[in-house]
Amino acid sequence: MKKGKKRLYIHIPFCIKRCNYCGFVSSVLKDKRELSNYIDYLSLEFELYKDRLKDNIITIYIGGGTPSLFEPYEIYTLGELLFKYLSLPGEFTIEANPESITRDKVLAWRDIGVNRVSLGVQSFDDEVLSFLGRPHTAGDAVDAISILKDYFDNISFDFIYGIPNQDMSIWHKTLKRAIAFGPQHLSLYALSIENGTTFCKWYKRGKIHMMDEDLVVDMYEFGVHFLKENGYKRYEISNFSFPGKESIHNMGYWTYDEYLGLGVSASSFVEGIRYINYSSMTDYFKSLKNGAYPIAYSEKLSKEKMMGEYIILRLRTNRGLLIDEFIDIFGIDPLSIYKDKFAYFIDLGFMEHTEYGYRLTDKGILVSNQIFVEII
Amino acid sequence: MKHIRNFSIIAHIDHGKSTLADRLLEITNTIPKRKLVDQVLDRMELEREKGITIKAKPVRMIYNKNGIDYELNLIDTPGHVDFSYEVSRALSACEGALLLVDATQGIEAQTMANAHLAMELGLTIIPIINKIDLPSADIELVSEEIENTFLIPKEEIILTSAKEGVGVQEVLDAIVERIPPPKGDPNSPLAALIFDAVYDSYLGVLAYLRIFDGKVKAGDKIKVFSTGREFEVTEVGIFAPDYKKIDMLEAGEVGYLAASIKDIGEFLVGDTITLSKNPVSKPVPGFKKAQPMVFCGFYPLEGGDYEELRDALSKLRLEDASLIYSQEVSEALGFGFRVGFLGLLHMEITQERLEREFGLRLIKTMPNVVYEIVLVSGEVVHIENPSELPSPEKIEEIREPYIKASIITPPDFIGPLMELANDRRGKFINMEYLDAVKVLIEYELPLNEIIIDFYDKLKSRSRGYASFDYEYIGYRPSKLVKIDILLNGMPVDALSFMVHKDKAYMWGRRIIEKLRKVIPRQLFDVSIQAAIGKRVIARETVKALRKDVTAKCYGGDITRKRKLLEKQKEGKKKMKKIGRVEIPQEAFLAVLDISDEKR
Ligand SMILES: Nc1nc2c(ncn2[C@@H]2O[C@H](COP(=O)(O)OP(=O)(O)OP(=O)(O)O)[C@@H](O)[C@H]2O)c(=O)[nH]1
Ligand code: SF4
Repeated sequence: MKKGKKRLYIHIPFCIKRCNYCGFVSSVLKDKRELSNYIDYLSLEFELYKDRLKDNIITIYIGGGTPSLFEPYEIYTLGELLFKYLSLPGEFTIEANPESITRDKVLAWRDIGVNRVSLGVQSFDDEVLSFLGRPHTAGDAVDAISILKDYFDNISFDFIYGIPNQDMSIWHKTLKRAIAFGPQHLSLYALSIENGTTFCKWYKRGKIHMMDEDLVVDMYEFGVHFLKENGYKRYEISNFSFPGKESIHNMGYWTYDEYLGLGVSASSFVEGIRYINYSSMTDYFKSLKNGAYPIAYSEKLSKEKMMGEYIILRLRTNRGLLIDEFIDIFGIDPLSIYKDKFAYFIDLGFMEHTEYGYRLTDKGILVSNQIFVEII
Repeated sequence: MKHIRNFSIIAHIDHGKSTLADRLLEITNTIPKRKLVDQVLDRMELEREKGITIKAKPVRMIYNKNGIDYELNLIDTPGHVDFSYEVSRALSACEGALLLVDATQGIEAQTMANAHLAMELGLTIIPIINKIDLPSADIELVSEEIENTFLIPKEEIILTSAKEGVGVQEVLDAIVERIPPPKGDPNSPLAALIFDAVYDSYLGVLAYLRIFDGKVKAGDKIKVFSTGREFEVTEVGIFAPDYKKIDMLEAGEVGYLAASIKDIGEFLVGDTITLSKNPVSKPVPGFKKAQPMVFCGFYPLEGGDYEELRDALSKLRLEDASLIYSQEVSEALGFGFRVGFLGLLHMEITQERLEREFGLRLIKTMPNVVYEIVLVSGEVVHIENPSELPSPEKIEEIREPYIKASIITPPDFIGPLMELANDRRGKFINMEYLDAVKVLIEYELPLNEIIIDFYDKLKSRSRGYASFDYEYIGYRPSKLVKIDILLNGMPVDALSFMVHKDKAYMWGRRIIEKLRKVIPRQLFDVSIQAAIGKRVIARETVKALRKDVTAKCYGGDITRKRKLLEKQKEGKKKMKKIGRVEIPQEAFLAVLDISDEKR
């Protein structure tokens, strides 16, 4: 937890169409002008936070939604906005979707300082992609990757597994194709059926079924194993990278660093307070127009809650919980509180000692929620 | 004394007992019509819901016939088989009984049992067919039924519509003419039967008495026959219909007596009260201590409510001498009570009262009967909890309580009902056609087999037509075994139960299958075993949970995630932890569902 130094997240809540599984805050872009309009509002929010931003930002992450919808001129506008309030950080990521990547846009990203791209590939199987309701094909992804590779040497792919009708061999092929492109980083997410999604509707109607739990576990384990064999290290439950290519920005969430989130539904964590912005565009615009912070929810976390959160986030990572760091932050030895619980989970084979503390074993990661419930 | 008539009404639920009683009170001007409504509403909410009167106060009416005032004492009888002993004591206090039968329903099992009891006690029976105003009334058929079943000549039957007041006058006349006045000698030593006892917050425990001989007044020193305990009478009175203090109660009369008593256990139903100075040599016959037949464990859902549960039980016990309880410690459930009941309804009412009137949340364990164990040493012990069963090598013989069940049903359902009784280890005794549409079937059954869901099954298999009554017939040796349930090798005391040897495998299998369904998957395999002694007869495993992980956890997800975990934690708190295994409440009643004889 580094006080003062913050990570900046900017949320771009627009997409070409809604994916069938999507539970993110995003809406279908109806009019291209919505994008520059949104940037106008973002600049109002920047202005509100200007003191917090100055010299303090160590990473930037533009996520969505689909930030790759921005045209080059919008990207430059966004770039100017950033330069006005902060200095260029070490890691600057933009999220992109294969269907909306063009050489011009990619160039513009590089021009404003982006040095890492996270591409939503999701699968290399066209049937799976269409089942997911993705607006692109595997071919689109291949094209996008070849453009990206011309300009960036830090690229990440997102994939989804545990999808109904996706069997092990499809998953295997997808991962094999993925590593052939040599991405520096991969995120593998198990599909979850979120409320309000098309999948949720289908599920309730019995049109789709949850995938067999054992198969999902097998897919995960296969992924971990396969990526490891190919030089990728798991550094968080769902994240893998070549050594030294971990996402510095995302790592900050799990090491309990402070972050500032701008845009619709973005969340911040500053001085022990968690804030969440309005997730309705109208509310977000309205408060900014009135010069008010567009915050819908805030919670001052008690020390107990923070300790619990710290541990459950830290335990998501490969390094696990660091005793000295915990003492540094909270002024108390975590063992004085959790010793018995840790011993219990070690006994069951879900946790293990590290040089500096404790971490979850492979077995423990898979049931981590059960472990976290005992800790919070 | 010549002008006193003591009587009760024998009727099946809903045949119109309360309505007829209301009419009698009305005609005799005992209670004005307007107040009657209040009285009906005055009943316990629970009683109204269940459609039964558990206990109503006796009432005294004055009826003038041919210029003579007759004192009629109506003594109510509880309307459920659980309280059959109390019924017998109430009937003992009377010289006559109205046998009230619904013209559209005919005789039901319980009416029959109680009428036979009244006849055995030598009471004069006045048969009444009620609800003759209904189009579906079949007076002819029901008259025949009464004649055949009780050998009462049809001519004696009075036809009424209690609802419309038809025939009620005739009933009053019959009470005066047909029921003999009480016999007894006011100058003999006092012999008074306690036919009921209630707790009154002003007067203390009140004994409801029928005076057979002698007299009693305030200031007398009385002695309770079975205990020899002595008290000074503070007040005597009659039910007119509210408590009305009078100077003296005399042979033949019905009334109440107070003696500043706190513990309802001092005045047990069926006991005899006499005077200390000049006591009677023999008590009124028929006294026995009401023995609880069914036991179960009551545990507070939250351990902290133990004290409240104890206070609540002691308050209920103030009104209910047949409720017994003792502290019990279960390894699985912590501190609680083993509570004994007269029967299932009694158990259900008690549980509901604890929950409603005292706001307690309870875990109830599987009900069981009391077993009689003959030890190798020759000693005989009674156990109220299967987990107390001595180890097998110490046991010579296990005996279980048996009942004689009388089932009355339309002939269509004989097959399914006999199948049900056979399935419950019943021994067929007798079958008899009461008339063309009614058959009486008698079975001997282990009480254990009917305490779970026999009544529900009886009703569902006869589409609600069959009625059922039972009487206790004593202990019989039985090939019983105790089934222990083990979770990961640890026996869970609260889940042990007794079952007949021949059913052990089937029940063992069913209960663990049920448990497998209700116990959630945990971080490790949970083995569930059913065992007799050391021998495991069935096993199942709840496989360890393989996956419970959140794939994504960034920014705003963290709050959401923490809240989900907090909720999950709340859910876990509601479970009982046995060793490392967490089990939900419903597991403790798993056995209740499995007696289902689905094959
Ligand atoms: N049509 C008709 N209905 C009657 C007559 N007598 C009673 N009833 C109705 O039958 C129902 C049951 O009557 P109750 O007097 O409550 O029966 P009960 O036997 O006292 O029943 P519990 O108090 O529950 O034991 C009520 O709805 C009465 O109104 C009658 O003569 N004719
Ligand atoms: S691209 Fe991403 S944010 Fe947009 S709809 Fe699909 S899953 Fe949702």
